[in-house]
Amino acid sequence: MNETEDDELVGRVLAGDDAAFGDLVARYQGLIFNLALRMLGNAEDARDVAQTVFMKAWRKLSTFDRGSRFFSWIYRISLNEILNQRRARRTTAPLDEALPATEPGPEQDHESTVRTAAVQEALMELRQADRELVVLHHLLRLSHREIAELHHVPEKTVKSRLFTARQRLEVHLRRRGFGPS
Amino acid sequence: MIDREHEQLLQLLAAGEASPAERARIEAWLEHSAEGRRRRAELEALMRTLAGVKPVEAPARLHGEVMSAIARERLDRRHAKERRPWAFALPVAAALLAVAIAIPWSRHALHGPQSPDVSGSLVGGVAPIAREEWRVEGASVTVRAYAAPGGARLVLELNASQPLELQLAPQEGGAAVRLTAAAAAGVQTVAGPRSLILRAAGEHRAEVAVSAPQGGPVRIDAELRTGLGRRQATLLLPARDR
Repeated sequence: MNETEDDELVGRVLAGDDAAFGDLVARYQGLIFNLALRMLGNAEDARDVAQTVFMKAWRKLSTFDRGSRFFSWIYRISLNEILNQRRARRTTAPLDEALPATEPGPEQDHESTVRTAAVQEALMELRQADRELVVLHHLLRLSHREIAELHHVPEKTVKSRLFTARQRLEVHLRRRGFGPS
Repeated sequence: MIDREHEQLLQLLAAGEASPAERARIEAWLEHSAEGRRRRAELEALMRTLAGVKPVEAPARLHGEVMSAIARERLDRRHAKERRPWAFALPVAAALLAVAIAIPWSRHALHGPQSPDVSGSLVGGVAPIAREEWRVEGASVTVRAYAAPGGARLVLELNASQPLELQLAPQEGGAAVRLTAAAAAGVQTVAGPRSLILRAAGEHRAEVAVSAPQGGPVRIDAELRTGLGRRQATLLLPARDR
């Protein structure tokens, strides 16, 4: 994400230009929706979370420190909302309800659907902190450095935590028939 | 058994994240470790599985829903601002009205033939004994509670851009408390054994009678729901004057 463009859009929103906020929504809706989807395992909940996140961001934009990254700020709001949603729901929706969020495209064959479902189930078995790391790095494709910035920890710590999280994920995937028996 | 250091390097290699130095080190080790080569294959399979999970498109309606909600909220704020110049006059007018009605009412309550029923009711005259405002994405409800013989009367102003559902239920311990909806155009009511549900969309006014024969404080749990969110709250009606 381009930080300069984000800052310019934030400035316009603060000056009363709601269309600029629409541009911010367009830039971040995919990331936030996918983060919520993979963390919650339910597309409807993910949509609710994404909508609430953007409304809160719009209402509180005047409190945003423009010296920091907009993505870090909205990511924090998202994580809080995801946790709220989990607390409210308590139970996890069955996977057939959870996925898919959209109709499978031609490239999404049966094998891919099964694999995605298995990964999602395995993710839901992980602790929240482990799940967050795997989602950020492997599914949302954030670099170690970007994750380190988001979490305010050294890059080395991210690598070490990710190592453990992947090991745990592998165990859960094996139970679902992925990887060596 | 592969030690942690080599396992870590193997993960980095499989993920394509090893630095040139790390890569050289682990590849040199792999030349002499069949177990390491097998593990490398396993980890590469894991990474392929993860890489196969593609991002999902955000729902097409998400952007529009957010922007509509913002537009509605801006409009609400503007209306609130426009009403503000008159806001100072409202409490004064309400107080004058309360006095104008309360004086004849209190005379009637003290001296009239029906006074025992009324004097034993909840606190107050015309001024509300409780007032709450509940907001959720797409709807708001203002509730004013007034003292009434044998309990209270709730006046609800429902304002919903989304279909809303409001569930009211007396808390545990309020077994004798009963809620009854008065007819209200555009508001659907469903009475259950322990709760009352009101459903509406748009702007409506509804009334609910609260029958509380025991006279203690009454707590009513409220849950306001729309397709965009839900909110829980409690309405407290004070005990009757003793």
